[in-house]
Amino acid sequence: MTSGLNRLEKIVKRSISLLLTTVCFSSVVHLQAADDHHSTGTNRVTLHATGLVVSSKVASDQATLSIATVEGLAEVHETTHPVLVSGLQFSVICTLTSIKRSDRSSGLETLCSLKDKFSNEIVVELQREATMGSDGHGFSKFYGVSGGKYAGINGSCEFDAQYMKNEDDLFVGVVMTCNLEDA
Amino acid sequence: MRLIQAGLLIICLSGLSRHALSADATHGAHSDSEDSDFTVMLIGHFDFNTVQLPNLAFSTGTIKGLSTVHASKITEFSKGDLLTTKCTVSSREEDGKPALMALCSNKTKYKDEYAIDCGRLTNIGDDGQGRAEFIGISGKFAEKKGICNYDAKYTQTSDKVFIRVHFDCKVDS
Repeated sequence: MTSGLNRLEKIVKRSISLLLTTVCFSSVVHLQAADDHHSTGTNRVTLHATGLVVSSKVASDQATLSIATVEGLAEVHETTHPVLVSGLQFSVICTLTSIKRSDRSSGLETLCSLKDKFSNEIVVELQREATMGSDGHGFSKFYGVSGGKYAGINGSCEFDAQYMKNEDDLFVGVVMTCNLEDA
Repeated sequence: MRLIQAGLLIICLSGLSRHALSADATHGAHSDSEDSDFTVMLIGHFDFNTVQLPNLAFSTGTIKGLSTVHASKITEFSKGDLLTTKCTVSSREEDGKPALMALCSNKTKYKDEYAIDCGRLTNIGDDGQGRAEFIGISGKFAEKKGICNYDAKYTQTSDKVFIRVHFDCKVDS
């Protein structure tokens, strides 16, 4: 009777041990696969940016041309990228141009330089069908500038821009989500 | 057999803990606290002046910018909401002992307003952390009160100074 119980106990212990090993290995294999995806595949990064808008405008009967600079800060918020980590901050300077013609839709083009505290640079090119100062959704391209920490990181992004006036100053808040690939 | 299984388990567990550590490192400094009711990030243009005497310095400044709601468990906020923020800030340093005070007004586009009352032992322009009071003023924030932890960081762009403040707030029930 006792030897039967001992045998049963041994079988149970071995089964538990085997089960733990299997679960453990499958978890590591799964995590390794996820890591491989991030290091060689696409990483998703969300940036939140806010900037002060300084603009000027020239208007005629046929068209209105607006130009502006935006200065502010951006921060990485949600990320799977190993270099663009959560909490990473950038100073941001952008130039914007929009032309609105009476006979066609208006285009808004923006080029932004983002620099971290060591002056490693990213350039983001944003485009949307809109006039300056209007909220909306658009598409952008993300380029890590050569020679810096972000060189070779490129991708496509979507963004939402929202303008808000704070007393006499105009600010823009942008949430941009990018799918990035490392060259 | 047992030795092999024990060895495999140790290798497995060390692998899992390595993944856990690297995940922590990736998601970094400003993971939103699970204890807080809402987290908000202010980015604002900072304009200030200082009068400096031999043993006394007094600085005053204003911050104007936008606050973005990063996470919220309360009905008054939703993730992604934007508010306009205006702050007045002063700091006084006497005999090497600085003290800073700041009061910020935050308004939604519907003009619901709350204030954040901050204080810490530092000068204007110094990065750092502190505690602040959340004070509901009007609209959906009226009568609300709470406490926030915050982390402030200054950055200079071309010729302007900007501040980023991460607020992590708990509202009294």
